[in-house]
Formats: sequence, C-alpha cells, structure tokens
Amino acid sequence: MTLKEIHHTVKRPGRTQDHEPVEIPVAEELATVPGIVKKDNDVAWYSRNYPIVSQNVEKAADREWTWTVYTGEMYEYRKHHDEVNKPLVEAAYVSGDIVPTGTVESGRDVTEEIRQKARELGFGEVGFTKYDRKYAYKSKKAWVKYEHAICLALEQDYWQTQTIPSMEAEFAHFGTYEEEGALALDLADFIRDLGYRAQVHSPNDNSAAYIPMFVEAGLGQLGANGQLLSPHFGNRSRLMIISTDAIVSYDEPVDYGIHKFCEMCQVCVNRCPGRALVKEKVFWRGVEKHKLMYDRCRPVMATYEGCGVCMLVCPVQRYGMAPVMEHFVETGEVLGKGTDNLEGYEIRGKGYYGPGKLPSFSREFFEIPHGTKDEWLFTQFKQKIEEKGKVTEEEKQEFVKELGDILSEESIFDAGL
Amino acid sequence: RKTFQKENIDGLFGELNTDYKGMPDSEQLHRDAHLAIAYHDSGRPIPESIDPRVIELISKHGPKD
Repeated sequence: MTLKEIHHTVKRPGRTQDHEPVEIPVAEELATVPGIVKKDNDVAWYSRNYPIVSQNVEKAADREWTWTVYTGEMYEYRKHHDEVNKPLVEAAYVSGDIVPTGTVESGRDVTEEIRQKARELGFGEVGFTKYDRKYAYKSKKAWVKYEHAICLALEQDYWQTQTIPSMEAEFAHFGTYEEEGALALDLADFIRDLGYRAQVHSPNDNSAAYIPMFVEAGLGQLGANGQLLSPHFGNRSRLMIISTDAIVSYDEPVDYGIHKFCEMCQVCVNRCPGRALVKEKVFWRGVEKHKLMYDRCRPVMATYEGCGVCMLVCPVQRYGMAPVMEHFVETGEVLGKGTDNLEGYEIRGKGYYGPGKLPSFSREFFEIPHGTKDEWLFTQFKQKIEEKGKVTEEEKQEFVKELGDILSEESIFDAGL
Repeated sequence: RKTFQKENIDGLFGELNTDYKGMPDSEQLHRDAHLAIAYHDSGRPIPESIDPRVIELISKHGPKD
C-alpha cells in the first residue's frame, strides 16, 4: 500500500552500460511540466538586449581574488590542473574547424550511433537537442558553429564527492573535467569519421549556460541548488556540449517531479554554509528558478576547497532519483532529510555541523572584489578619492598603469588560461 | 528509533574504507552503505539488493534502539 498516487513513471537507461534501466515513479503531487517553466518571449528578449555574460568575464575580479584565499595545497593543485587542462581547452577551441574524415551516408540519422559511442566512452547522460543560442555567452556567440547540441554529462567519483568540502573532493571535481575534456575530443573524432563536423564546447571555457539545453534534452531538471539533477547522479556530474551538423533526432524534455520535490525538500537551502540558497523561486531572464545569492556563495566556495555542500546534501545525488522518488511515493517523506548521514559536514578549522547547525562567518568574510577587473580597479580608485579627498600624482600614474595592464591582457579563453 | 549519529557513521565508513579500500566493488559498497543508512534512519526495511557486507556493518555500527 503506497501513500501517494503515481502520476507517471519515467524510464531511463542504466547508470552505465553495465547497469539495468531504471524506472522513476513521479507522485501525483510532484508532477508539473516537462523541462522547466519559462516564458520564451522573455528569454529571447533578454538574450537579444542583454546577452548572458560568462561568469569568467563578468566576475573576473573575484576569480582572480580566489587565488589569494586558497590554501597552499589548493593553490598548487589548481595550478597543476590549469596546466593539464589548457591543451584540452585549446584543442576544443579549434575543433569546429577540423574537416570530417569519413563520408556521409546520405540521409541516415546517426543519433543512436553517437549516443552509443558516448556511452561506451563513459558519459553517463547523453541527449540531443537544438543548440539554443539564446543561452550562448556574449563572448562566444560568434564562435559557436552548427545547430545541433549533444549534451554530455560525466559522473564524478561517488566516494570522493561524499567527502565535500575537501581536497579529495576537489581531486574528483577537477579530475572529472580533465577526463571529460579528453573524452569529448575522442567523440568529436568519431563524429568526423561519420562524415560530419563537430565542435567541442569545453566544460572549462563554456560557450553558454549549458543546463537549459540539458533540460530540453530530457537529461534532468533544475534543482533548488541551481544545478542539473539527473536521474543517476543528481548534481554529481560535469556538463559539456558538442555541437554538430550531423543528422540527429532531438530528445524531449521530461518531468521528473523535481520542481515540486525541491520546493518540499529544501535540504540544500537549509544546509548551505553561506546561506546563499533561497527557498522561493523567482523568474530570472524568463525562467522560473531558485536564484542563488552569488556574493554569499563565492567567499565560502573559494576559501573552503570549492565548498559544494549543496552537491553533498542533495538526496538525489546521494541515493539516486529512483530510490528518492520511490521513497516519497511510499512514505510522503524525503529520504535522508534531517539525518546526520545526509546533512552533516565538516568545515576545515571550524568543525562538524549536523542537522540544524550552521557555521558562522564575519561580515568581512563576505567582502570580495566585484565585477570585471577594470571595474574593480575603478571602484577601489573611487573609494580612495572619497576617503582621502584627493589622490597623488604617483597614485594616478599607478592607476593608469594597472588599467593599461588589465586592458592589454589577451586571451581567447574567457577563463583567462 | 534512533538514527545514525556522526560517531556511528564515522565507525561504519572507517571500517569500510579500511577493509575494502582498493577493491573493485568498494564504490558500490559506499553507495549501498549510504542508501542502507537512509533506509535504517527512515524506519523502512533495507532492500534485499543491498550487499550483505553492508548489512553486517549496519548491524555492527548502527545506533542501539
């Protein structure tokens, strides 16, 4: 005897090729819409008038600042990762210009061949949809080629991730990116062997906000933590896209019941060390979502090994979507909610925080640089004038030199590799 | 019914990490252990699909009612 009526059941392939397919029951009261609630006109209007600016550009000042609060170990590891990753990002950047190596079989749909190959390579979720330029970053709009998007999610190590926040978890986080960047280049080669073009959109030099396309391809729904919750690993994956001109068929968005589930669950909202996640949804650029407070998130994330508590405490990440939804149907409760096992975490130097307990930080802890690097330089210069009433000739010259250095920085990558 | 507290969790995963580290199925054991603890804490029977070695660890390290 189950407690809740089932509205529909979602069938998905297994976590890997070695696993059986899964069935996810969606309770009557959790059913909303396939994909996400959005106003297409609004999304298009914002894209035209205020195209999305990559965080790497818009928040470049705090991106640079993060290096100053890393621990020594984190600093060295991150430097190592950037060195290892750079050739992969560079290869992705020019991948769209490489000519196909095979000959096209006229009119043949190659969707399932590509999906099968991607699964063989290890991608846990693979979906096909239109590359939606409305979500492309301002800096990348001219770079993007080809109309179809192959959405690829690579699972991050289970055990390492459950140690969040930690260096161990950061090894999983950045290590997955390194693995994914290389696998995508292999998949692009496979597509070229079929006679088509393929452009690799790096997970570290993103061309767009990828999650909307993953949702459109039916690979999951947007969670309260602002991350894609997919059936097998929730938010514990790294996302990237390959765009192509191959003949493919699009997948459809799916209602996994996540919108209502997250409204009820709220574990990530309650457990965020920085209190950066919000309970209520808002419409943001035409999409209904839980919009996190960046300035509450970034300082914790930068200081404490990437934080990621919102990933750690998500029951869909920890247990998988099928057990979580099945438990809700049976009991009307969120599996693991309120327990130390799901909600507990340790913060370096601060200790253990179980359910109902959160760390506290000083007001100064949340004071970080804002905006682009030149904007932040102007802000500081203005502040200096306001405080002192005037600036010396030497300070003016120093300001002009620093501004010149920033404006002459050259990198084709938003991440500034 | 008592739920797993930090010391129970540390004990269980401490033993799991020591005894099964590097074994091919150690990741699956971790997944099973987290799921089994969640079922235990919710008061529902632990599914038969959970590895028997995990069931043993649950009995050994779990809170005493």
